[in-house]
Amino acid sequence: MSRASAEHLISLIVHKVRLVIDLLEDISLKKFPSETPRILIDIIKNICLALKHHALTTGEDTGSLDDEDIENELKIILSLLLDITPHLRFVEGASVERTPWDLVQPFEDFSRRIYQKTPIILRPQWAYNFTIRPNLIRTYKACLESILSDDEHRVLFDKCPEEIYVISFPGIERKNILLQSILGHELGHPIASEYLGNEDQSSYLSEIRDEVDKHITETDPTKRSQELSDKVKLIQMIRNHF
Amino acid sequence: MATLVFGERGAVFNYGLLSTKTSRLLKRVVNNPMQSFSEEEFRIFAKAKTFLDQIIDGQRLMEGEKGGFKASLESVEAVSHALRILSVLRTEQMINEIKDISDIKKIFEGIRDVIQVINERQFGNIDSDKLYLARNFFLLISRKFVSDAQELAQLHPPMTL
Repeated sequence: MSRASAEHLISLIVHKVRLVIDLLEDISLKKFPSETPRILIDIIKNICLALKHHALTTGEDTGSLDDEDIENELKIILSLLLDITPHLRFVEGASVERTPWDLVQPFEDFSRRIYQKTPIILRPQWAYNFTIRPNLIRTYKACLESILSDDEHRVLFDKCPEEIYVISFPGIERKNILLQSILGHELGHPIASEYLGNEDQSSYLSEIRDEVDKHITETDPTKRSQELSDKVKLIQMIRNHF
Repeated sequence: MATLVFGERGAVFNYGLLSTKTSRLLKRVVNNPMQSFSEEEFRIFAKAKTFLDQIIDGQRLMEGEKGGFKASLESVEAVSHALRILSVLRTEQMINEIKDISDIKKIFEGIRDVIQVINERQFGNIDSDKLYLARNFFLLISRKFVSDAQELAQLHPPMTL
């Protein structure tokens, strides 16, 4: 490990942040049928700036960058930045020319009757499917929890909504008003997730464990645990398709 | 600690950054057992303890314990990450051979003890072997999280600077 590696990673992070912010500024020049995409633009921009600030101040406590932990931290920050970057498509796609703009406002009004404090972004996708992304802000908060102080966390998220739902529809059906009725179905997913989230996890996890135990004859405890984890992941994936 | 939904990519970044920070703080204790920490740094230790609590709860579920702990999807997620480095800890001779499944929980409890003692500002009571193990646990697990994070961000090839 060397100081040069950490410095290189910092310069990469600073450079990528600059690129993302430039793109966000370009996207913000577009017209949107509602204010929500601009709110998400600001959130992503502020997250990028927070990551940049964190990268630039890493190592200040010890006065040294020559440390594997610092290098690992910077690599995760860079990966996080690159993982968030594709979210620009949510705002870029939400512009007036890409959406059935005359539908957006009525649909937002309809959504607000169910989720008063959760604005939505409607955007086309090339995949022929309708989807909802119900936990964008919560994931951002979780990702940043360990690198932001409570104060920084508050400054970053206090003014943004608790959550934003990103609802995607098949772009080639943009003008098919009849098909867009399926959008209403997407609004039901968060309710289903909330219902399933209230299940007694201890109970069904114990049942899964007992079932897995029956099928495992090997005594390697690490393998046994991994099989349980895989099985639970499978169940979660199935549940996510509700 | 924010509640993470099982399998969410947020867990990789959150646990990853928590692990690198905890590893770094523990290194300072290894180098100077009378190290002082800021409130912000104690906040990291508190989160690290929560992470270890989840790991231990997950392990208790694996072991078939009934009651007395909180089995959740988060705890299964946490222990599945932790179990990945047991073999590395063994190869590096930082832990003894695992002869019984209950040995695994004891390893994680030993690591949690160190974090707990630091959280309580009882630096004089830190077991040096457990401290060394705790530091290496967080260093090794953070390497796994780096790899996971790069995979999620589709950084191919991974950065090997």
